[in-house]
Amino acid sequence: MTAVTPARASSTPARVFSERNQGTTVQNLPLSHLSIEVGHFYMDDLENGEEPIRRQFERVKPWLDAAMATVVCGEEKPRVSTCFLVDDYFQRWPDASRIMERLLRLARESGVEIDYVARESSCARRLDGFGVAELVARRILEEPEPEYSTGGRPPTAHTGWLSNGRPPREATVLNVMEAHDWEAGQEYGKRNHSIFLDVELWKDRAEPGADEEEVLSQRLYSCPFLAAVWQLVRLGLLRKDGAPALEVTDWDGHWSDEWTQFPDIVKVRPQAKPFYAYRSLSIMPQHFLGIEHAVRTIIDHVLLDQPVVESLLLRAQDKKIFLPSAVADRISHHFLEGGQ
Amino acid sequence: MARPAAPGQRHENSDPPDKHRPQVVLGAVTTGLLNTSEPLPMEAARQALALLPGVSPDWRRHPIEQVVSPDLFFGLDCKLAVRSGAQPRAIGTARARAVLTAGHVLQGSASVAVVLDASKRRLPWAHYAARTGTVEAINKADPADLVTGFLHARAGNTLLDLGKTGSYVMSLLDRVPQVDRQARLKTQTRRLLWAAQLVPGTEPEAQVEAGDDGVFRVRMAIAPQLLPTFVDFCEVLALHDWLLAALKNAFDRSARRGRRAEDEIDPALTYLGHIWNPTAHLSSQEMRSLWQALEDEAQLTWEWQSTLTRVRDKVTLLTRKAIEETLHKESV
Repeated sequence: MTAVTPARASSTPARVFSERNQGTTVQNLPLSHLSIEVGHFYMDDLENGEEPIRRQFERVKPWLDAAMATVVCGEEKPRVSTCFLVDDYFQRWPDASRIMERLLRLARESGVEIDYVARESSCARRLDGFGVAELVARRILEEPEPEYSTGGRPPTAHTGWLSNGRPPREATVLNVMEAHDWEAGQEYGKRNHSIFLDVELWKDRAEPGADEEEVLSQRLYSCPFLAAVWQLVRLGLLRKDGAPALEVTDWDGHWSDEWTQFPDIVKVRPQAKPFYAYRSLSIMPQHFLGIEHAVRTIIDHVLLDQPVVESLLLRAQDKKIFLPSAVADRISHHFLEGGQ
Repeated sequence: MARPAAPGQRHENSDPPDKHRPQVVLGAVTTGLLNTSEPLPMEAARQALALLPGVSPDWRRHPIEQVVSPDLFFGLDCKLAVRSGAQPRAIGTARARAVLTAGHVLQGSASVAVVLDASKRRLPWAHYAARTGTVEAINKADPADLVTGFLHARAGNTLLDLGKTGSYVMSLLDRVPQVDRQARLKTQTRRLLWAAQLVPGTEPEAQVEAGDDGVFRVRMAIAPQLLPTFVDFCEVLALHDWLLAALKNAFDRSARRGRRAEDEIDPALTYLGHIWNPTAHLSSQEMRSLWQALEDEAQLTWEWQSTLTRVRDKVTLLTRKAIEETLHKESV
């Protein structure tokens, strides 16, 4: 055995040579304090007449004003941007320009200014073909099983499902006299009682044995999974090579008729505050609550790149802005009442 | 209007400081040969070690090429070994990375920081996901006891096993297209265990022990800011321990009956002979001094040089023998 105490560091001569090429340098993004998503529609809602759209925006408006009053901004002047996610992933019609013009007009007439428009399809795959959703998929860590997770378990979800615990199961009945042959599901992080949730992240539609590229191109992501991508993008946490995974493009003054030709995120109002923000708020109808529960579960299991997380925490600290360390705590919702 | 803090939150700009900071960091470095016929050139190595989409590995060319993968995380909920009292249960994530040196020597380096007595029960997962590379222990334990317990624990199916984590990361490299899975040199995987007690303001103090099981164990008391350089130190030590063992094994095999000596020696000389350079990537003065102190006693570099000399002498003798045999044949 060798026991050593190295010499004091104070005699260190200055170093002449150093080399460490950082593979990735994290960009500092312009940030708003709050990003507000002002409503959400399925694609068929956008096709079904103006009245329902107008009604939702009118109901969003007072909560938008309330949200402005809750901005956490340290000693800075509050910066808030609004955004809208178009649901073009699961179905789309070829009259994108008409839909966009109507949507923005109805929002404006209801007193809701939309600063940025993004497409749900981009959360799966960018206009340039890069698979954004896989950035999240490959960073998902399944919650370790209590007591028996000693470090050798592969880190990612392979099945396309993610849960917050252990599913209910039929117990093997060894002794016929034992009455219970069913075990309840269990939420690992429960407090007294469980709310077990199992979320479908994607469906693989490629033939068995297909290569990885083929599998990914055929993969159909679920709505909560894409919504989780969307939240992480808004929070500036999802990056490719240090830059935002989805970047903002200025609007060139006209909308294409094809959704597939839209930029990933379009800046509609030139004077808008930055798209990315320390926090996000989504205002949407009540029936999205289940989806957002799933979104939160997904986000709780995404392990983000430390340099990105730290760069945001340092910025916030510097500007004296409180920023919760758990990402899901930076996200809030307001659900509009149902039945309308 | 706008307020510095959200309702119900303290007027602070970050979460409340963790109840405790980590007092102990545990780690394991598994070292082996990349399963490839020839060393990977730099470009291929950088592609192979891009284990996460969206981030690229770190790398350096001088004096020896080295590529370091991004960190991967592994979920943990298991017991920590201790010498006395109940084993604390720890929950959180381990951090692991792959390190490829000279395009050929692959290491899986895993570690976890331990916060003791952090909570009374397992918390919602978001809590742990926000503290990557850290486990929080339910119930108390003595940090020194944890260090000893980890370094000398027998394997158990509920005990932390970071060696397995490192091996898993290495296995990821078997599946990348840059690796042809046709290694030409026979080597064995070796493991190094390390444990550091974090003591703010302390002078670094280390003990290195070569166990009879062939495992190097390093324990250290260290100031928290020096931890990353200490991890580098352990990876460097593990690499050189492996190099030495691999060269010696090749030499031993070359002397065995029924083997052609050159089949064992040639690949060892070709692929390993040039890699030895322990201080190449030790960036801090503290760790260079530590290596120097280790050299004074363990003399690993002397051992390497003398082994290398024996191998080369053997090659010279074999060559002379071959020449003499040829001359003999010609004269007959």
